Amino acid sequence: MYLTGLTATSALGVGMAAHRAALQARRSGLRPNDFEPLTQGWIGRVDGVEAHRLPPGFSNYDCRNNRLADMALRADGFLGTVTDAVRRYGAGRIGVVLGTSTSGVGAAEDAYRDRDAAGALPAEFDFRGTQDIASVGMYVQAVLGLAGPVSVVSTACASALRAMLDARALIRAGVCDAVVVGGADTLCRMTLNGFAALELISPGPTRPCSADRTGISIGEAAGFALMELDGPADALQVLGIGASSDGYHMSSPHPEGAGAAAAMRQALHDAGSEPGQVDWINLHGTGTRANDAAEDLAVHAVMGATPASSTKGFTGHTLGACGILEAAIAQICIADGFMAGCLGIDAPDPSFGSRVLTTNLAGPVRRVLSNAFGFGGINCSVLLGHA
Amino acid sequence: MRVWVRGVSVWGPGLEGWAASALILAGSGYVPRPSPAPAPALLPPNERRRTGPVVRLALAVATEAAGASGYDPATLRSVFGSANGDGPVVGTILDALAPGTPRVVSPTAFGNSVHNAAAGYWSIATGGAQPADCVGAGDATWAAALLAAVVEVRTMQMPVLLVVYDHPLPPPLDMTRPILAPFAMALVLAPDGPGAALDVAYVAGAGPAAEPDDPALRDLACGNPAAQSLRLLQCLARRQDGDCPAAYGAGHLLVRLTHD
Repeated sequence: MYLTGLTATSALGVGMAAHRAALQARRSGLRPNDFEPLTQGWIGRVDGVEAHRLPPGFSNYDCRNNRLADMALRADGFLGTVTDAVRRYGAGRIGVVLGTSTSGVGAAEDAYRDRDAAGALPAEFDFRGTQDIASVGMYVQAVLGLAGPVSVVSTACASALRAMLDARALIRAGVCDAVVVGGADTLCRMTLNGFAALELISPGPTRPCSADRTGISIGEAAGFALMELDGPADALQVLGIGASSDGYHMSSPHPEGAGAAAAMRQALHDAGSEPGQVDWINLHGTGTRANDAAEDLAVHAVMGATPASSTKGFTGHTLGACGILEAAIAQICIADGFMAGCLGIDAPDPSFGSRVLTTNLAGPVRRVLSNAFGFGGINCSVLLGHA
Repeated sequence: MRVWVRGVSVWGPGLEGWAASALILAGSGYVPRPSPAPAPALLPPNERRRTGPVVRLALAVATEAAGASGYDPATLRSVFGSANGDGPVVGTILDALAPGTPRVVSPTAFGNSVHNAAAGYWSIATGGAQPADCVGAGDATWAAALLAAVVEVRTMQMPVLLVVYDHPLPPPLDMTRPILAPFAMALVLAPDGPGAALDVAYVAGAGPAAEPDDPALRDLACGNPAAQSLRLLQCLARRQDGDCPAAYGAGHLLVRLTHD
């Protein structure tokens, strides 16, 4: 499956060129939290979301999450990619399957703030267009003028990767010829305060895989691609996808990374690939003590000494959108021939068995294994690259 | 695309499990009454006490349908569909974040607020390592989740547990998104028989949507996205062949049930 027209928007900027420049310069998009006064730490905030406006006629969808999605849709010629696809396949043959963890819950946070004396929400609050988990899918389908099946996958931080699995199934089953995949997750008070309550927010910029790592930096991102059976030669391909459940705990990973290892093994098996055919692993690598340690065990067991690193130090943890953002990072690293090493750390945790990169490493990159794990013990792993 | 129905469950007002409800759905004497879902017996006590009414609703139907299928629940892939997820839990967080309140978000509530919370508890309950998918599509959630489950059965050639549920939101959200009553249903769908055969196809453009033939069930179907499955559940209860199409955004889903 090809990911045609892949584009992403995050704290590194709008579109692929901004991501390429920041990754090569090893420049972080993180900044001290200037979004939510109740919580500390650093965040990966996208500039310009507040000023961005949805096109006329779509005001019912107006919220931070759909604005960020709209910014990403308009980057890198993605609208043209979809227009071409509509001409080839017809609008009814193109589905939309996106991932998000919190959708437009920020609009509900504002509405709760603005309740009247009787406790009622403001009349202009539109639940379906904003807070509803499906609103980003409904918006994207409507603004692109598509008429195939639309669905939003919400499996916490694994959402956008799991959406690719569902999209592929729609194409393989013959329901769709192409599916708009990706997703969006935006900064909101619920996630910032929730992760703070779990004591998982790093006081400084997140430093995944360092021995003295202190937690995550929350970021926001949106990204899209058109998944289709055939595509341009330079388009990234989804070679294999794996998914598993931990069956262990709602908000802590399995300590030995059993589910993570299963997802990676399945992704390789699904692609018909051996661990030795993978050049780089983009870790889930959130920077929490438990996640990085468990993922290290899983990566070491499945992938041995394959170079691995987390790009969360560049972007922050963009939750349900990280799967599409990190697919975009994989495309850049494959095209430019480098692996983006962890940012902000001098040396990896000495207890880790896997080979963690702490600087960018130049070299041919053909295949990237990209991980995303979420609350509820949901694990996804995707092998991206060229066959 | 054809799949076979290996297990069925339902939980809603006056519909307390498939064993107790099949005769009610087959007949015409449906009378709604409050029916809180039971605490999930499959979960260890420390996890069970963290579950609220929404997770209990989903796990009640997952447990019955998986049990009826004859498959080991731990071996089933799953698709969970819900328009609104755990509204009561999200509501407690929104209340905590509102000005003038103590402003402390409970870490347990935050973990339980994710749309895939019910699926997470299901995997803890069964100890299963099979993947769970969790989707929402507003009023089209029944159609979206059914389609996701059917294409997963066909492409993976494995049985899939489909669980579709929605629960009323707490005030003041309930004014903007009314849900009539808690309702959940589950099917175990397999790539081969025995069982009733279900043929599903997506068609672009508007189409008909099947409604149950009982007025009180029709109210339920109009008042809870998960209950749009009620016409299909009636046909299953009656062992009756029938078309049970569902509206699906810019298109619709053709759903035909055939008994051998």
